[in-house]
Amino acid sequence: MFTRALCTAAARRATTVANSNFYQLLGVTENFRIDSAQLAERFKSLQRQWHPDKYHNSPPADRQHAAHMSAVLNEAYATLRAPHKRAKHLLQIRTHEAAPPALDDVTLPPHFLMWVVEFRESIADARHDPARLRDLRDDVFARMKQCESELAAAFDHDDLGAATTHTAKLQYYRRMQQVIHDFS
Amino acid sequence: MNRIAAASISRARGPFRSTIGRQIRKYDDKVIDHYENPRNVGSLNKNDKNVGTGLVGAPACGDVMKLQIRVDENGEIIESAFKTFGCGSAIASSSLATEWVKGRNVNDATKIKNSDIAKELKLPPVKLHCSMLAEDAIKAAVKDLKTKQDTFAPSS
Repeated sequence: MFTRALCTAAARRATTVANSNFYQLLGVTENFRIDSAQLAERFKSLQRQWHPDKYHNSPPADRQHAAHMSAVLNEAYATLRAPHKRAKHLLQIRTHEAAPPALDDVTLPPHFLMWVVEFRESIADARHDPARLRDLRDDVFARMKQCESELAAAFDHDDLGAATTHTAKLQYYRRMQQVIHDFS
Repeated sequence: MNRIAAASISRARGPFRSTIGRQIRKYDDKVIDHYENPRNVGSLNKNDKNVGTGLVGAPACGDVMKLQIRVDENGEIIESAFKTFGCGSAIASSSLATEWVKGRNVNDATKIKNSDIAKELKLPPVKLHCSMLAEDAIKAAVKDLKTKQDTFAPSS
């Protein structure tokens, strides 16, 4: 258990960090490639540290702060665990922007968009065909993994243009996954 | 063709419908009409030199819109078709856009603004980007057509 002073100082430090960088908050290396076991371990240990039960008898301000930290840690973990959220967070960090990129200004090549239209059509056509839906799901999954490895390489080379493009592509794959899931 | 439109919009039907009949009605009747009976759903031959194809996407949500126009020898748009995989507002915006471009000269088609579409459909602020997508799709279709043939460039 922290003494109150320690707790408040740690809390203040952690909050400041949390507002800008989830990697620092969770103490993992700031890269797209991530050690998910280490990430989970760091998250669990910090979550134990800030567990509201520990602050049961603390002053209201500290109790509130612990609850806040617990929520921020959940958000940080959810962000770093999901590749598309992690990519946007890392882009925000690397570009020193105040918010994650909206991606709406990203222009993808027409052949990619045409492929998206055709693939969405195939999904719609296969909605009563579980076997075909499974094939399409596997197809999207493979493309997603490929996209994630290209994304990792782009971040490795600090090629933020390519990273932004791949992040946008990831959004289309995710949407396809959702649609397939809803039909399944 | 209609099957595809129906499939693409059926996803949104549940939550979309649920807003209707509540005290605060989120969508206008015109959106619902276009959403339930989308006009000009389908595809034109994209290799036809009189056909322009506009493809736009919204990376933030992962949805896509394809809008096509076919012109006659005077550059008048005689046919238009769309396929949109997105929410009700995106479908309504592109459906309306295909209706509005028909009969216009290709150079006038780009005068259709997202604000006109949004106004006609009374889109709520959170759905304005759907009408912007439709405007971008028209522009992209016209641009594609003009790269295929420069005959319809305005004389100036």
